[in-house]
Amino acid sequence: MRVNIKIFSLLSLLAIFGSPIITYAATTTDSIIVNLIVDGDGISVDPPDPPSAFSLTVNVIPGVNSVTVVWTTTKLSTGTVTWDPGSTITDSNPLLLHQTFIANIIPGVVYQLTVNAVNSIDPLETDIFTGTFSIDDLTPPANPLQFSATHDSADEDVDLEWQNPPDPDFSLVRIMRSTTFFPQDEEEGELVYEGDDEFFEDTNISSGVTYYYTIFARDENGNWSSGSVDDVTIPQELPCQDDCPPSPCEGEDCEICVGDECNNQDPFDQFPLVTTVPPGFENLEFTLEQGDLREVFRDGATISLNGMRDTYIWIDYDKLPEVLKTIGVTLVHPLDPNKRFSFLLQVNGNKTRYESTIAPLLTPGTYKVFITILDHKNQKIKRVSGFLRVVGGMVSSPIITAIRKFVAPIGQAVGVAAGLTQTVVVVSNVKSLYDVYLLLVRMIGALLGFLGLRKKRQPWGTVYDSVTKRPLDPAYVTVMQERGDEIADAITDLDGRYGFLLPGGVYKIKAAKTNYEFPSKKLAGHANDELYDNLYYGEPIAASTGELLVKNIPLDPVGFDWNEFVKNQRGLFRLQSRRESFKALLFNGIYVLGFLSTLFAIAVSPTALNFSILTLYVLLFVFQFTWRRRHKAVRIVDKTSGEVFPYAIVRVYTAELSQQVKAVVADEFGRFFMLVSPGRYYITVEAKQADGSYKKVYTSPPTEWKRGVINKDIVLNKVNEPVLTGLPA
Amino acid sequence: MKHKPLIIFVMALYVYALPVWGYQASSSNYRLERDSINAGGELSTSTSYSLEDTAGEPGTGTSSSAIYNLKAGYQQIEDSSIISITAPSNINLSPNIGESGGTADGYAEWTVTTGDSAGYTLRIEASTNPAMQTTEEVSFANYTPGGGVPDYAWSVTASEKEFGFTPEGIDITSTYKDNGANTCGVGSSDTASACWDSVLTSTKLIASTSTPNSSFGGTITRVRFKAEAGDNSNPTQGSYVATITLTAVTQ
Repeated sequence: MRVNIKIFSLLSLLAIFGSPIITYAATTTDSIIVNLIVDGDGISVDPPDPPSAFSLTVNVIPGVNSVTVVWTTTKLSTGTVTWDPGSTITDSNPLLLHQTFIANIIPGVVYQLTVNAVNSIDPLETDIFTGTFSIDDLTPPANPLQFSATHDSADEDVDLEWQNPPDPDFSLVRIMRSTTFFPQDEEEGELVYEGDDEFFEDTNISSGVTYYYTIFARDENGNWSSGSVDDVTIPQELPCQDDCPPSPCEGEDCEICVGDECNNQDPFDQFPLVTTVPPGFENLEFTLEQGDLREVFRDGATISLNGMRDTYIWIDYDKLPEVLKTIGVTLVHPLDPNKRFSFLLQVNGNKTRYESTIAPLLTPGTYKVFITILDHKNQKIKRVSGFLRVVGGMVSSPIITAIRKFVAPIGQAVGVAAGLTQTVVVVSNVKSLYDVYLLLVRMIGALLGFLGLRKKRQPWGTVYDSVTKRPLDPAYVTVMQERGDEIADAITDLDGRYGFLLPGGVYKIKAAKTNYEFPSKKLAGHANDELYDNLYYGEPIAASTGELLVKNIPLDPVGFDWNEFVKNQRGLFRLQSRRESFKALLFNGIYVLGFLSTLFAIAVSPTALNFSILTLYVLLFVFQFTWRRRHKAVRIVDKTSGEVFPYAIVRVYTAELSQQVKAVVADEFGRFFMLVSPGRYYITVEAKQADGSYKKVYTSPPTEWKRGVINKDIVLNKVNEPVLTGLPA
Repeated sequence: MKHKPLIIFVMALYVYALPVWGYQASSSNYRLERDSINAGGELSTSTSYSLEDTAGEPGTGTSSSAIYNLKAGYQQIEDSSIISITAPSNINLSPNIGESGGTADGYAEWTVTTGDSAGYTLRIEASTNPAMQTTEEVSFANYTPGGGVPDYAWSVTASEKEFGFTPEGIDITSTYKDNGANTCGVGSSDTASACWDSVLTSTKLIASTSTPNSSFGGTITRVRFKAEAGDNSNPTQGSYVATITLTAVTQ
């Protein structure tokens, strides 16, 4: 069982601090072939060595909205790369080949480039390159919005309406039409219109013909959008005037529109369904991006978007079989089901994605989405539908994202930290960062002792406050040989105790704690005080092997004056009580906020890690609750004034033999915790007087302590004898 | 020890959590148990970039003993204990050497990148002895430095045919550094085309460093090769080949 406990404990440490990654020396090789030709035509002249003078060569490699400046020098160099408009990057690594990455380059803008290289060994040798660079704008504009083709029976034409995209480099739109299918690119079909208006009447129409229109937007750099589409069928006869038959689309099956000759139906839904669906279309996933926001859209999905931003929609080219001809997307307006907006996804230049960009949808609400995959026979292969929940403002989505991404995790971490801090405060006497360090070291030592990896030492003595007599936890105790070599150290436990197991010899002990001085000057010359004997002040100690020496070490508090404390006792209590309350409120508040953050994090991201953090919260709460219940502090209180007895000494004696079994010192609030073995005891209370001495103010009658603790306050008359005693349990 | 059952229970909870996290990657020889323990962060992508961030991560940092290195924290392995070397193309020394002798040069550059805190070493070796030879084993002799250190200036007598190399770069060893005038093995200069040596079938240390270099994209070592046939060496016509291997090892 003990072995199992150790394994559990070791694994627990790994869980807390992370698993080690074991690494060894890594090796990598590369081989090349060096060729040499000896022939009859060789030139028997030594080729010139590369120029020994310092020189610089610059090459600019364009990227997507970025460039990489590759600059090589004939000697090791450092240097700077400056681009205008822009900034400067300094490369201070002495290299022959430098690569400087410049991000956020605006396509189409001409940048002035200067590379200043300096010989790393001889700074007087420099070379400067000046030139220009620019990158092509390969980003197409968004598709025109709200494109519609409507038959105008009065004018006998087709009214084409749209909204031009808001791209700053938008140039014009081009409308192409076909009588077989939507034109797939800006060259396909018959040109209907080109310009930057937002309305056009197509008068060149014939009765009984269905016209498929695609409108493409172009930017100033010649990039075309994927195309928005609509179709219209010109009636064979003049529209009826009276007793018109019902629209073919009216009825239960017409989801999107009624009336208007079904002109507002999804234009991609009119094509017949393929008889056999080829494999590869089972679980299609489209990606919608708005800047850093990325959402996956699949059949039945509902995703949220910002209505004020462009939306880039795409699907991997490789994920779709070759039988595919085109992908059409239709959005139905959230407020008016008769309004819909359809567009195509086009294959990009390097055939990696089908893609399109949607201009800001603006109108908030839930848009119905239909994505239709069509084959080369204009048959529907697959139809995916879902919803886009569009938030009109620019605030909500980023806020939610920010909360999910940063606030919740930070809240969790801070909350756990607050909980841990509270726990540490509850179970120890930490007052500084150094104390935290000592506490951690002591915890590790305790764990090693628990695992049997470190021998537990017999306590030697106690480190305590020379004024208040309170044990100091944690304090750092070191043992030195006579010549000053430090040979052992220890950190005091909760009761200020320490211990060493040393061979025979002469030693000196030194104790240290933040805001305390060693050796004590206040008790100098005293061999004992009211509570401790064998006091130690830094003198050499001769110890034989196995000898148990008990040395209690008083430390003088820095900045604490007992007389001042007594004078301002009431005010100090009020102030400190307020501070304690504030600290408790602060830590508890942070703890609760962190806990709520964890619940929020689990709600949006129910990962194992978040559940683990929740478990940690629960454990911290249970531990604090249990600790406080089992270590309930009681107070020594004056009945008349309600004032407490700070730093009073409480001693416990056996009822039969009057043998002292334990003594504790109350804290500044008169609180103490007493735990002894169950039995029959009586206690005495010695109050600390204004002059620093102690006076016994109370002796209790013998009582049976069934649980070995005092669980009620001791109420005394500060001036005279006690009037009411606490009842041990 | 009254609290022992409670402590064991608490620890068991952490043990219980381990299989939930699981390991992240494995091969036949190694398994990466866990790549990060943190309180938040996620993968963010755009059309151009992919960013993985983290927040509130405890227990990070590096520590080591005589036999172990502990790299605790977010994607630490990405930047440590991994070494890579680039693979330059084969090179042709030029110009061709005629039967009446001549000199041919060329060079290749290798970039070694490692996040290992102790840096790396780079060694060179040839697959054959002499290094440069034809399939019929007609060869150029390995270059012979005049002394115990590489020759500052390349020198081949009229009756000899030799093939050698010299490394250049920030990390080259002191053997291949020079005083900027006429001597190798002393000084801190790295004069171009100076300090020539032979490539043998046993490895020669040409570059090393005791610090990681991944933060600035690795370190380039340029190795120049030279072959010369003296005027009276009567080199045999043919295609000569030297297979050169560079090996980079973390320290």
